[in-house]
Amino acid sequence: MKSRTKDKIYIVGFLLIPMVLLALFSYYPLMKLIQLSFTDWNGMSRDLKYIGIRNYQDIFSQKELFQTFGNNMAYVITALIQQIAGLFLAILLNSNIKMKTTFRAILFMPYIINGVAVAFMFNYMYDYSNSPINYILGSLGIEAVHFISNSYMTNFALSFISFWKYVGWTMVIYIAALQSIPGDVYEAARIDGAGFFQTIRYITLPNIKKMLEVSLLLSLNGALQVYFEPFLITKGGPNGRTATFISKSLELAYSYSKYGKAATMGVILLFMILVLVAVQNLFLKGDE
Amino acid sequence: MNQRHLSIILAGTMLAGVITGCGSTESAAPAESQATAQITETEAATADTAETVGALSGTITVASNRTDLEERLAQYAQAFMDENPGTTVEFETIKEYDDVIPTRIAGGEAPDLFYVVDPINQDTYKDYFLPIDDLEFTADDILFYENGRGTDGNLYVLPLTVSYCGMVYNKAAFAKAGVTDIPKTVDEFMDVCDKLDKAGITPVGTAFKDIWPIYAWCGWGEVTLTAGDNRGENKYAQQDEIYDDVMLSSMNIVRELYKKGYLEDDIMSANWDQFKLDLAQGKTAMHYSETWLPAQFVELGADPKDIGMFPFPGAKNIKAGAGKQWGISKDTENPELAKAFLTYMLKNPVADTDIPSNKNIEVNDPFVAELLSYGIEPLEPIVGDATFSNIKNDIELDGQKFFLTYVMEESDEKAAALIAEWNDKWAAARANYIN
Repeated sequence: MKSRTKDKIYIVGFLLIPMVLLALFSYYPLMKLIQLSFTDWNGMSRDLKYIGIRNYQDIFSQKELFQTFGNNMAYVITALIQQIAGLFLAILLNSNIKMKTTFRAILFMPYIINGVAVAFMFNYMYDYSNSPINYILGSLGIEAVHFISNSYMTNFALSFISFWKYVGWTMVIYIAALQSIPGDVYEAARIDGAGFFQTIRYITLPNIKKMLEVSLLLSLNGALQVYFEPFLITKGGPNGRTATFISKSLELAYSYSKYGKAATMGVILLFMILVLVAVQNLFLKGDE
Repeated sequence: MNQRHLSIILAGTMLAGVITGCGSTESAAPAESQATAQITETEAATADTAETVGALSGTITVASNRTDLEERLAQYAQAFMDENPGTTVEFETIKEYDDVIPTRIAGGEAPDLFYVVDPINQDTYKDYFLPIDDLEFTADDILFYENGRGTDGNLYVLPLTVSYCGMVYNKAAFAKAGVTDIPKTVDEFMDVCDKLDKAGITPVGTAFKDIWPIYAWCGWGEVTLTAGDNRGENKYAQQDEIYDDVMLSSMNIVRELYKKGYLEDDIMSANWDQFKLDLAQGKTAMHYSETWLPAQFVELGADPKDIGMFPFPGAKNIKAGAGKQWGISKDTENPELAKAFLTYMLKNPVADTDIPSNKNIEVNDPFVAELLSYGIEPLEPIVGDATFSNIKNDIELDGQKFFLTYVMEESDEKAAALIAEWNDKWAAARANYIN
């Protein structure tokens, strides 16, 4: 009995702080977001006017808001390529090559650089007249490239920034997964005469499947929520060609003071991500 | 035993922390009512001693966006405090002014003195500002005095500065290209651009990547007043087209400049800082803006004699406009001090390069003098209301961003379709705002 009370105090004592923090900084803002989505708050007034589901009706009637998911697709495609590249690098750097720790550190470095600094740097790289890339192309006699232009490819230019920033992180996750595979399995395979690709196909991939799914989910989630590249570099332009769902909602809040409607977009995106998670879980369960 | 005591103490401390954390909102309430009590006290006190000169006291915070003038602002406040012992005036410089101020207001932490930011307009002045009809100024003293009234008729805000719209140009660049006369019509303007282009100079700088610098070409107020119509943007609240021929004639000039290659090599990467350097050094020749700008080229090292201004080619009038409009927070604890300091700011320009709104202060800005020397009359907008900005926000139109799209659209038909689309939206939304 005594030890049980003690346990209880321990549990309550140690859980209370994280739970309160979680409630304060995650669940309370979430509830507030849902509350705001039913108002026409302008970001300034102290009292809220409830307008029912008008924000939701507005958003579902504005096709152009959902067309921004077309731009998000560029990020989704890049996220998939990022998985392959991350896995490739992980396999490479998990083998016995020289200086692998140095390479890992170099590849992981972009992840710890502040996102705004990264955007600023690429802002310079993508500048038409001052870009070092265009300078090199020019000295090789190749015509300069318009990285930021009127075409859909601009989205890929922007999503490459995420690729560059996060590929090292993906790699680290896969390295961790790879290291959990016991070495003797590989040894046995080698004795049986399995080649490089066969080991990947029959040993590596099945063993890191769980990690693949987690990493993929995180990347897709990130691709849907992306905003800082367009927000900082192109401001969603020209003509919304690089706007993403979130950059559009930020624009609603900051340019037109429609915080209520922006909150509604946040809620809608939340549900879309929940659906994505549910679908992924469904596939997972089906396998088990 | 010891361990149990320890765990109880531990859990107790954590609990206490949480409780105090939650309690802070409760304890904030009495503090606030105390503050209001203080206001009524000060108001009562000032009512009693209104005639007593030099009775000012207290502390106010003034929010400015001029992060570049921090030291100068501190000196400026000190000068006021020396004249009025017992008062404290603090300038707070905020870089992301337009984002920070609304948040501060929403949190009940508005600075005592600040200028109008979105989404505040004539309809909502009364929710954020204190009426200042009782300041010592009238419309005879301050330019754009009447424009500071709210929908309810009270005066809430006043501009400290004014500016005039015109082309800023680099005279050395003009000389290098062999241009001797400034262009007076759009055709002459295009010829000048051609000469500059052939001399290897970028004729017109836009800094389009940063979007806002092109506001003069596509701002409803700027374009309409330059065309000689003093209704400014208020004109559009009365008609079903937000993009009419007047607007398009200005916007199409930039479209033509873009097509002919008279703008920066790649407008999607033409940024403000680079543009300013280029114009200061004569690599770029012209930019359409206002009289607050030329001083910045001189700061960047341009010879003041090389920088000049001329009226927009073909302009019927030069648009005169109010600068930032300053008001006193409704929640200030020291309204008398805030009023005294606003009066001081209206009498003493903050920066040497400011063009004061106070008519009693002599303007000796060489750029203003040059711009007005061409004999085209400045025109002030009429006192407007909030209808225009309300409808524009409703249809989520960002005129500057759309302008970039419009300029970059290669096909004329598609460009016209984009215009028609906004005009349709405008007409539909406007129906809800007119009685």
